[in-house]
Order: sequence, then structure tokens, then C-alpha cells
Amino acid sequence: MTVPLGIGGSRRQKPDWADVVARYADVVYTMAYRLTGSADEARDLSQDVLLRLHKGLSKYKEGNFEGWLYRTTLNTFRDKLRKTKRLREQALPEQFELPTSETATEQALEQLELREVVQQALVKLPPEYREAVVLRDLQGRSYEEIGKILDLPAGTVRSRIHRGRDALRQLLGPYVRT
Amino acid sequence: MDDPTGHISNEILSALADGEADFSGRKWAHDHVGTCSQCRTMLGELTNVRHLIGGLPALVAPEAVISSALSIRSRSLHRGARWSLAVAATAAIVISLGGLASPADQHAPPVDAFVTRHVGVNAGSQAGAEVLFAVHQK
Repeated sequence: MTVPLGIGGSRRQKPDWADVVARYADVVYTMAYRLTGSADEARDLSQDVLLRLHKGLSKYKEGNFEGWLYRTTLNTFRDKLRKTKRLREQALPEQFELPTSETATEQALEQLELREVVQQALVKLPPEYREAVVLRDLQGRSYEEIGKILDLPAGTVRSRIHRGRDALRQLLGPYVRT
Repeated sequence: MDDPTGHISNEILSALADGEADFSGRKWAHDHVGTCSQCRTMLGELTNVRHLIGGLPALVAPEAVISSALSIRSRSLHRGARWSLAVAATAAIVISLGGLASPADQHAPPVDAFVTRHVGVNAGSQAGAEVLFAVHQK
């Protein structure tokens, strides 16, 4: 996890842009990749996010820089989805091509392949579930923090995380069975 | 508890996996999971999902993203410099124009007085030309 910029709660000191890039470019790119599942899309999304952050930096007044960063990332992600006409209630696919359990066992030995399968399953989630799961399981944010970032009540956050995980549980069946 | 079947709902189990199940029946839920294999299995699977997602590694942003981000600042600086230059140039032009106009007003040649003084002496068709010549000479 990254070290937060020393600006929490301070409204007087603006973060230096080079410092922001050095500390958060990887965070933004990782989130972008997990949300899109594509290196090209992640690169474009990251660049757009960083551009927005730079534009907003002079007016930045919030106390929680990372919350603002996550919110900006997710808003940019949604805007790009809208532009590509993909923002609709994406129903879970009827069929998700999972390997057979025998193949799955072999693939589970290959960490990289397992990660790829997990990533593929993640991008099949509806965007609102994907965002909640990424913030919780990848970024380690609490339900309360996620509620503030997404501007949602705690109950809705809990529900989205659960629905996302439940869908992933079905998609990743052989990998998650105890 | 919160499920008609007597089991814990998956949503509560998911929150339990996060340690975020902040509700009065949490102790009951923990006790139930300890005795109910169905809920225990589900809790295990949801926890595994959590670990699989959490196990995805952090990535390093490509150089193109970094350089693009850093160039935003330099572009801004260049834009700022261009604005500064434009403002300076505009200011210089205004001052120059002002410089042309103001001294002329303050030290304008007394043409009217000159004409008045000489028009009587050089009355006739050439008077105007001489006056002009005299002004230019001055």
C-alpha cells in the first residue's frame, strides 16, 4: 500500500505534481487494469485519470487525498464506459468458459494463469460490483471508506461487495471450492 | 438468523469474511458457522474469492503513463510561459503606443500659432505649401 501524501486534512499545502505521479501512478494504473482487464485500456484510462487529477489539484480541498484519487479514477472509468456504450446493466454471461476441474487443477499450479482467470472473471462483473470489489479486496478499503468514495450508504456497499463476490464464486467455481 | 432457511445469508457471510458484520447477531452468526457445515462452506468459498482478488499483484505503470503525466506539468508551464510572454508583449506595445502619443501631445509643435503668424506674410496660392514646408522643417 502506498504512503499517503502528507496533506491529510491540510488545506494550505498543495501536493507537488511530480510527487503525486511518483506515488500514485502505479496505484492508478493497477486499478485501471483491474477494472478494464486490458493493458491498452488501462494505459488510456490512467492517462485520463492523471490528467483529471492534475486539473483538479489546484482546487483540491478535501482532506482525504486517496479517497479523491479513487473517486476520480472510478468516475473516469465510468465516463469511458459510457463513451464506449458499454455502461448498461451487464448481466452475468449465461456461460462462462471455465476450464474443467482437471485442467483447473493444473492451471492452479500456474500462478500467472490463475491470476489471468481471476482477472477475466473480475471484468465480467457489472461495473458497480467490480468497483466495490476492487476497492475492498484490492485496495483494502473499509465499507465506510467505500461508502464515502462511491457516495453510497453502508448497506448498499455491503450488498454490492456481496453480489460481486457471489458472482465471482460462481465464475471461479473450481478455484474457490473448499 | 436472517434467512428463512435458518442459515446465514450470503451477504452477511461476505461481511463476516471482511470483519465488517457489525450487527447485534454477530456472535450468533459466528456460533452458527461453527456448527453449520453449509454456512461454513459458503463462508470459506467467499473468503477464497476475497483472497483470490486480493492476491492480484500491484502493477507498475508503463513509462508512457509516467512521462505523459509529467509532461502535463511541463505543458502547463510552457502554457504559463507563453501567457507571460503574451502579457509582456502586449504591455510593451501599449507602453510604446502610449509613448508615441503622450510626448507628442505634451510637446506638439505650435502649428496653429505658426500658421497664424505666417499666413498674413505669405498670403496667396503658395501660402499653404510654405506653411507645410515650414512645419516639416521644424
